[in-house]
Amino acid sequence: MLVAAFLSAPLLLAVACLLDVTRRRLWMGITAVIVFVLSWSVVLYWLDSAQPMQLALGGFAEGLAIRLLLDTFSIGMIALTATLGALLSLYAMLDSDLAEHDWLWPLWILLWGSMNLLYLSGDLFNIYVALELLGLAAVGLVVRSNTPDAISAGMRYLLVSLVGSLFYLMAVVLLYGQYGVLDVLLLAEQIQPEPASWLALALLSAGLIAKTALFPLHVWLPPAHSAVHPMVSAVLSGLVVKTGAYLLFVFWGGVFAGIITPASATLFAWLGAGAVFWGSVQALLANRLKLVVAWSTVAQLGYVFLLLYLLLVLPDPALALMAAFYFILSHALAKSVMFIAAGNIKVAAGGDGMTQIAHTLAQHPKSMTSFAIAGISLAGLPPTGGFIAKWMMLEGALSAQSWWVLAVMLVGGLLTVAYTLRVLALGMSNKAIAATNPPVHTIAPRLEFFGLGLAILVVVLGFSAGWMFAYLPMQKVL
Amino acid sequence: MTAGLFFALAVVLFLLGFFIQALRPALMLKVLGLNVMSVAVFMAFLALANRHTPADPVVHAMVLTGIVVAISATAFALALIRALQHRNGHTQLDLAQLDRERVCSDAHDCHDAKERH
Repeated sequence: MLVAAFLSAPLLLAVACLLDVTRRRLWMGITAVIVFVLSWSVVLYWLDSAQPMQLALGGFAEGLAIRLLLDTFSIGMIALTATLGALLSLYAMLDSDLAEHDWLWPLWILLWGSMNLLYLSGDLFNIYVALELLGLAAVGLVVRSNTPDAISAGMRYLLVSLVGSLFYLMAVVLLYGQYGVLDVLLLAEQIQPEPASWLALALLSAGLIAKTALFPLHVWLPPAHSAVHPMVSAVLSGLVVKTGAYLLFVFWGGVFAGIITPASATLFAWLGAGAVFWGSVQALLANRLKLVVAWSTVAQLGYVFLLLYLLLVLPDPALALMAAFYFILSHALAKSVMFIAAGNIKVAAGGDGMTQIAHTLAQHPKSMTSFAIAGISLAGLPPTGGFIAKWMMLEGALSAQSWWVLAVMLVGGLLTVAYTLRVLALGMSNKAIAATNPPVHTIAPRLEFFGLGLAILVVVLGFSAGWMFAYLPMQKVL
Repeated sequence: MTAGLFFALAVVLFLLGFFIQALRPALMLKVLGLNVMSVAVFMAFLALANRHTPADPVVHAMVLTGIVVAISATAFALALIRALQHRNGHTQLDLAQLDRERVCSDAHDCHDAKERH
């Protein structure tokens, strides 16, 4: 049926793409269209049916079946992955620097498929398999760049990813040993406040925090996300790290919701605040443009976890959940724009050291504009999608009366503006020199226009929250 | 030996593997530490399976899947180690790379170490 086709299509097409070496780009294009159509078919099918939807693979009885769970949050993430995935696939296909036989094509299809599997999984072990597939595909995409930096960064990412998965698997062992079920809904009903559950929660949280690069386990992210092709950076920062955040929402807000105390939720408030500050400060100090953007990802992930804290302390989780989803959506898009702009500038300047790019920034007004619009969205200023997300975040903080969370969000916005302006000011103050210095390479105009087009989408997101939540009302996590 | 004893040993092995991979700088030892950790998790799983008679088949399926994943991941890690050995001449993660990239204001010329793609 539709969902089975949706899950298996990327995996089968990835094999075809892998084997047909001379036509990999074409296979990527075909796959992007097919997966985009299938994803939106699943979304429309879900909108048309009773919700939340649950499917048991193989028609087995409850308790034995591997369950696929489609609720508002997972459907929203699938829609985001489908749309942004298709757009970024198009960007990669427009880039003539990527060869036909490049490993990017099959690896990206596998990554896309594993993310879809993760969002639909309603079974602990299925989530583990999806996490491993995701991790291996992501590391593959990092090392595909084949520079010393990329390979070191990829090795570090692989080690962190595998340790994280093993911590998660140990938690699954404990949960299965204690309750005898792997199904998330059954587990949510049966969970009791006892040492086995707490230890399991601690283990899987540690693993997922490492995989989602939440401060202080974020060290692997900046080298990895800044050493790769901009499309890969966009995918990693925009989509891959969000899977860990999604799972933490599902576990803390759904499966273990019955046994969590608001006091334990403050963990995420502290880590989120730390991420916002540390990431922003490092973005201000970084010596390469792509590192600025990568540290910005570390900082923005902090907001997602501040929202998790709010979700856990507020009596009604709907606002925090919708804020989290809209934040993830606008961040994914804005970060993609930023990485595309940074990538274009790097190609034009022949390198992305801050002094290197100073001369070429002003010669690329389209990229600078895209970068600026992305920065505005990340800072939470109107008229972008980030503003809507920030507004909802501030509403949540106000209703929870967490004044210091509110302060962190506002100061974080200021810091985001600071590191965005750092880059823009560099370009503006070197306009005279830029006029006399030709760029090292000329970028194809279509790549810059693509970045600008995505930046316009970022602004469109500033006006689409209303109808989006009319279709996807997010009341609770599970 | 009871299932409980095996489970306790599994926990010990898990911690042992974790500290090996965290504390030893040599990449080969890190990969071995990861393998010890995964074996520990499988052992814990099987100790649980042993509580029933006949042994719980769901656990067997999960452990087999886990073994396959662990083999693929180890193979990938070893290939990466070879690539690093080939490029750098040694197999330790370059922690200095992280420090070089971190603090550098653009007021003065910073040493952009290697060619980046």
